[in-house]
Amino acid sequence: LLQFILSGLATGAVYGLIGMALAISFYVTRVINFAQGQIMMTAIMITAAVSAAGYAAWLAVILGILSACVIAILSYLIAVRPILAFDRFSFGWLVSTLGFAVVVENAAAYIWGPTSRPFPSILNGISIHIATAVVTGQQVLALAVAVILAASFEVVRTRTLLGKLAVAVASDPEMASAIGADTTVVAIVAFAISGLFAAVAGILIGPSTFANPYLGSTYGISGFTAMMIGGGTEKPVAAMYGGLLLGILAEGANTFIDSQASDWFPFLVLVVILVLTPRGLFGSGWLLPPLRLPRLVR
Amino acid sequence: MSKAPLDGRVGELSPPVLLHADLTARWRGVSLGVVVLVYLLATWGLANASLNVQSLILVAAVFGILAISLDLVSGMLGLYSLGQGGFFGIGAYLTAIAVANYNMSPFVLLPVVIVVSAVIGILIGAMSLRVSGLYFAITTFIFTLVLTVMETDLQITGGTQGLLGPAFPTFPNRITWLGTPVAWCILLALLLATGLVWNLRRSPLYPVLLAIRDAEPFAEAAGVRTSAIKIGIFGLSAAMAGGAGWLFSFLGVVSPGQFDWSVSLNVLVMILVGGLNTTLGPLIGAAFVSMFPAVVDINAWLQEILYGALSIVAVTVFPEGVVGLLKTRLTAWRVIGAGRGDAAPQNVRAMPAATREDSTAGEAVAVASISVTRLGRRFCAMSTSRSGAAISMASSGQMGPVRAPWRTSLPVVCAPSPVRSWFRASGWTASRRAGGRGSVYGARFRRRSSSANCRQARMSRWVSTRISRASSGARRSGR
Repeated sequence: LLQFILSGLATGAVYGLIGMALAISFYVTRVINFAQGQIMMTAIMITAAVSAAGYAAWLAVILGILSACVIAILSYLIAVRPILAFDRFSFGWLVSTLGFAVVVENAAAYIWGPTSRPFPSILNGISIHIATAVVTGQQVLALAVAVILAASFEVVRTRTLLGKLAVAVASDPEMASAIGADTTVVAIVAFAISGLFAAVAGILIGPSTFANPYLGSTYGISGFTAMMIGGGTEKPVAAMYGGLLLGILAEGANTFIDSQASDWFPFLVLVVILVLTPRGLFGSGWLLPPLRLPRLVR
Repeated sequence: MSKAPLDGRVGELSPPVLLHADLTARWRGVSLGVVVLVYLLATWGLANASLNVQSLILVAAVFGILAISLDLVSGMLGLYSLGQGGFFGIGAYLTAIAVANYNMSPFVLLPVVIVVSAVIGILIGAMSLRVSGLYFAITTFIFTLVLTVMETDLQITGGTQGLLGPAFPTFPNRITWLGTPVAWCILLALLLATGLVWNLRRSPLYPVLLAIRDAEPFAEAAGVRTSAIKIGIFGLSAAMAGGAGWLFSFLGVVSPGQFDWSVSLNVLVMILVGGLNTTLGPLIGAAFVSMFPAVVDINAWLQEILYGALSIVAVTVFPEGVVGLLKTRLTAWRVIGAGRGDAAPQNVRAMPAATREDSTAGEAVAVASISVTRLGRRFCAMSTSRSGAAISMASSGQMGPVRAPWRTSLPVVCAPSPVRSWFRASGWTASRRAGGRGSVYGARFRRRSSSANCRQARMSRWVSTRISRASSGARRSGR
């Protein structure tokens, strides 16, 4: 039991990071970036390519993360901004972000070929025994990194000027720009941060999935499910809770129902949750009351 | 009951306009007949063409029906459904399974498929319309995801391999010269679907739908039962998508990959590329998207990259789609050509007046909506803020949210006598080329021949019995 909860939490942390990446770009621009999974994939591919070229793993990881941020910013400038500039309530981004995802995915497949390539095994070789369970160092790292990133994001969001600016831009871009906020810059920062989250998620799963250009869509969908279960559309950090829950559910379904059950069981849960509470479990304080953090900045 | 103030204004215009309209109505009838005849001839040609050409065109035609069904909810109601792939799959799988396992005749199955998809559509609609806008897209997206997973994992659907689609019944011996029966079936269905939407666009229900799309609170205040209409139209669209699935099952293998969420999004690409809320747009978009892989014959990855790039360019550079773009250009050109029409401003001022008097009298009969496309910021008595957050109508003092800054529309409760005051103002366009500063140069008013008016009156009564209560009876749906 402990085993599946721990490994579920570790996978869930990765889903949660991708879910948060989706939620961060969503809550500033009201756009779901369908290319998020592909941005994660870019980080994995670049890391694999750089380390295959003989550079140190840490350099590869940093370059991977940076490239994902750049791709995320590009996705905003190319696929989102022109559409929102024409009509803020248009749904054209559904098409353009998907088009961007298609371009990125197939460009990666064209450059690196459709087969899996080796990925530096960061902490995957270490195994840690906790009571009866065995976890790899990578899984522990995933959980720790996810918690740190989620917590620091929440602090930035609620306690700094940038976070409040983002909320203002999200709720009314016109008003925010009227009082002097540069909406484009805020949106670019948000997309860069979402790229960072996706890239970190990619680095965390890379050692176990290896580098494959088609990773993007599977993990993109999982991240999306995590966001919807948690209610990340209301509050990005809820996507992390949703991701952890999703990871445990998927592992549990695999253990207790049958080995393929993680394909459909989370969706069943998602449907039930959406029927009960369309805004997700943790988004609107339906399940968890909002955290009261001490005030850091006046 | 006072005479509607609108009548006088439109009446002043009427003699030359009516004459013109009568002529054009006759011409329209003739040209419609010619178009249908040419279409049937083309169908006959295609039914006797080579199999490669046939499969290319037939797949495009099935996707055309699918795109039309999505345009019905997205274009007219502003509901961006991503469930279309799901309904499409339901139709196809239902047909394949029932023919393979129970040996049913496809023609018996057609009504079953349509009813089943409509019922599921109504259920999904009722469930997901509790939430609006983006959340609607998300819930329907998840519906498609769930269906894909079911199709992959269930025994009866044959897993990822899928099922072999049923064979279409052949023509009796005497009429084999007609060619392949499935080609006739699909192309006639396409004609039927196009005709259905074309007619809907000319029915009195259409402005009601636009009013719901652009300013739901207004429409609701005017007595429109918005949620019932939305769910009903969504059910109709689901039924059409199910029917498209029925047709699709005759074209080969039915497998989960053909109905997953990317199909739903591709259908959206079709209507956005072709032009939202146009009759021909979805067809053009469907032809583009479904024929693209066959026509552009290069490395598969490069081809996908090109496709993605083209769809980004299409939605960012031509947000109104191909047909929308042509329409705007044509209208701008015609407005300039017509020497800067002069009648428009009067009628524009008449609208708010009609709203005020009729709604206070509680004699709401029909709801019309004037769509004002891409105006400048100021428009007669009303001013739209750039954010589109609020629109104030100085003359009637109404305030309300309006969705899009460039496509603003006012629902107007109009006219106790819908027969005479029925009008449609289409294409008020202030093109930048025509002078730029956002003033209104012209409007085209259409009036129909008397038989069309009679039909309209019948339809109006039909609509009014169903839609309209006095504004006091307006009921807020749980949103």
